Amino acid sequence: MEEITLGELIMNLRIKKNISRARLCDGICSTVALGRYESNERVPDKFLIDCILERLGENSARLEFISSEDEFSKSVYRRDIEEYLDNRQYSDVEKILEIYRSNTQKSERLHYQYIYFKEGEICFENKKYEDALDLYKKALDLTERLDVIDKGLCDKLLSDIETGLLYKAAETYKCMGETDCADYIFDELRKYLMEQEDDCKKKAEYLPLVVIHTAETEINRSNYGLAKQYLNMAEELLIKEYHLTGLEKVLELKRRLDEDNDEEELHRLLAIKILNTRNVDGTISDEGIKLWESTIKQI
Amino acid sequence: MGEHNKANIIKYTRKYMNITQAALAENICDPVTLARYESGKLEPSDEKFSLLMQKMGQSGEKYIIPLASTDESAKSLINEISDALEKGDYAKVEVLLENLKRQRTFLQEGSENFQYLKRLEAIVAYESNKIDAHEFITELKSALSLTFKDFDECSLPKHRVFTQTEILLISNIARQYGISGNKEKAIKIYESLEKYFMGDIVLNDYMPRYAVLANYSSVLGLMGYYDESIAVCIRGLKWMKKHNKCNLIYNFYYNIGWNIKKKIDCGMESETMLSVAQCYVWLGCELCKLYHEDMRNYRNMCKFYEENFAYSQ
Repeated sequence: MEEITLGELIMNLRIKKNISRARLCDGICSTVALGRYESNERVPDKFLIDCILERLGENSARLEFISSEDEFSKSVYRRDIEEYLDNRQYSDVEKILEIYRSNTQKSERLHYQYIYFKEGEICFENKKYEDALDLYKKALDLTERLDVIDKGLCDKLLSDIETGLLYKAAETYKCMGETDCADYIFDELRKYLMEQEDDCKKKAEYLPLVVIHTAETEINRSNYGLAKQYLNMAEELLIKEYHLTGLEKVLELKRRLDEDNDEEELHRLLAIKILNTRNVDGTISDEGIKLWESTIKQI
Repeated sequence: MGEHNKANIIKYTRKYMNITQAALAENICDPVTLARYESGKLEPSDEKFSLLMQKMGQSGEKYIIPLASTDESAKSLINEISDALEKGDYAKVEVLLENLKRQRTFLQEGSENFQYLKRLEAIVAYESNKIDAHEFITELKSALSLTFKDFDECSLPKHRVFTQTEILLISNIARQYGISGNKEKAIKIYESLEKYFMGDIVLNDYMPRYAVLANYSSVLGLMGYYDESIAVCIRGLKWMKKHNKCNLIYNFYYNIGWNIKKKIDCGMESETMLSVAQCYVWLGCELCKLYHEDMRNYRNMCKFYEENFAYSQ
């Protein structure tokens, strides 16, 4: 394959998608700086590259563009943070976040955005919703995405982290009972993500989850037909990507809306419930076996 | 992986681990050579790179290079083909392949793309009975040799960076050996594939890995190595859980259930596990249907369920 410089990659993508420099770099760097990156006069750090590429609807770059020792160690921290978060080892996450923080200057906004995001996630998991929301807002403000919360996207582009932040902020509002705020953000996110290409990572990850929330809202408004449409959309997206997260909720809600309790639907829901009680190694837990024995086996 | 990247990865990992150049280079290369690697003046071979990284206790980022194209329409065709292939819809694969072959950019992008096409053509020809099993293996090996000439069935070079197509070809060859009765050869190849995956941070590899492990566990089970087969399934499940994906997991659950049942049948396992075996097989069937996987497999799994569990309590 032909070798292409980073600058050329960014510029080609930007031009192809008809995006101005100003719109792309809004909140993260100056247009002059972006111009320098595009002409290869300067090389941005990998985190910034990822942000730019993601806003262009591409998935983040592989390690090829790491250009400093500092950037490398930060990428190792991030990898470990994500792993600990997946395993719910929150005190370990906090330890690494502290090290990350101590190695980050205040001027490195994108890195701080990441730090606040992860700190927010820990608060969220510990049900400290106000604190979580504060951190998410602080993070969003760093790249001028805070006013999306009440003013909408208005043509702004989002990186994966910015998308995640908005999603979590909406989720937090929902947990706090502020459903109007939550619904507004979910709506904006849904419209934005639907415009992205199918292979866009943030679309695959967040759109189904956003749509599930939208479906719940429609159920609360008694718009059952519309809710069903959204649930079908969410189901289709999740299954296409072979995802599991959110699938149990979709099937549960669908079952609640369906008048005739389809046996096939029940089987599917139970399969997913059993899957969700897996052991760490993926094997069916005793709980799962009991669930199966007390339901399907009786049929 | 570009030279720029290898240089940086070595340098930054060494500094991150607080090791001097002299200490790292010892028994691997000259310190001067290491300095040249780190400055990018000299590119280390895959082998040297791997040795250096392993010495630092890091297995290094190894990529299984996925098939990529700069052409948008080729990209979406590749995804559709992948999908159709997993579901066993070979007629659709054939049609999509014809479309792909018309994308000139794709063909011009290099020998890996050509190899990709050759692999798929061989699969379609075999599945539609245009070539027999023996010819199929020959075609697969011929495709592999386009980019990898020294394929030794007993061991894969640890330090070579494989592309996704190459891994899938090797896995296909192993599977064919398994199907045509040469199970020992199949196992040997799977073992070397697993060794290749083992212990390394391999990026972009979920597709090859789950496909390899699913077939590996099947061959082991058919040879009567029930516990080993279950162990491979568990490795597969654990890995898929970590990556939050459900492609082919039906296969792992079904295989576990199948193996437990076989163990019960030959007295290696107590009858009390019958319910557990049944649950696993049931889950395999349900997941296959839920994720719209290969319907041929679904029918076979349902048949196994009917024959072995339908009349049990």
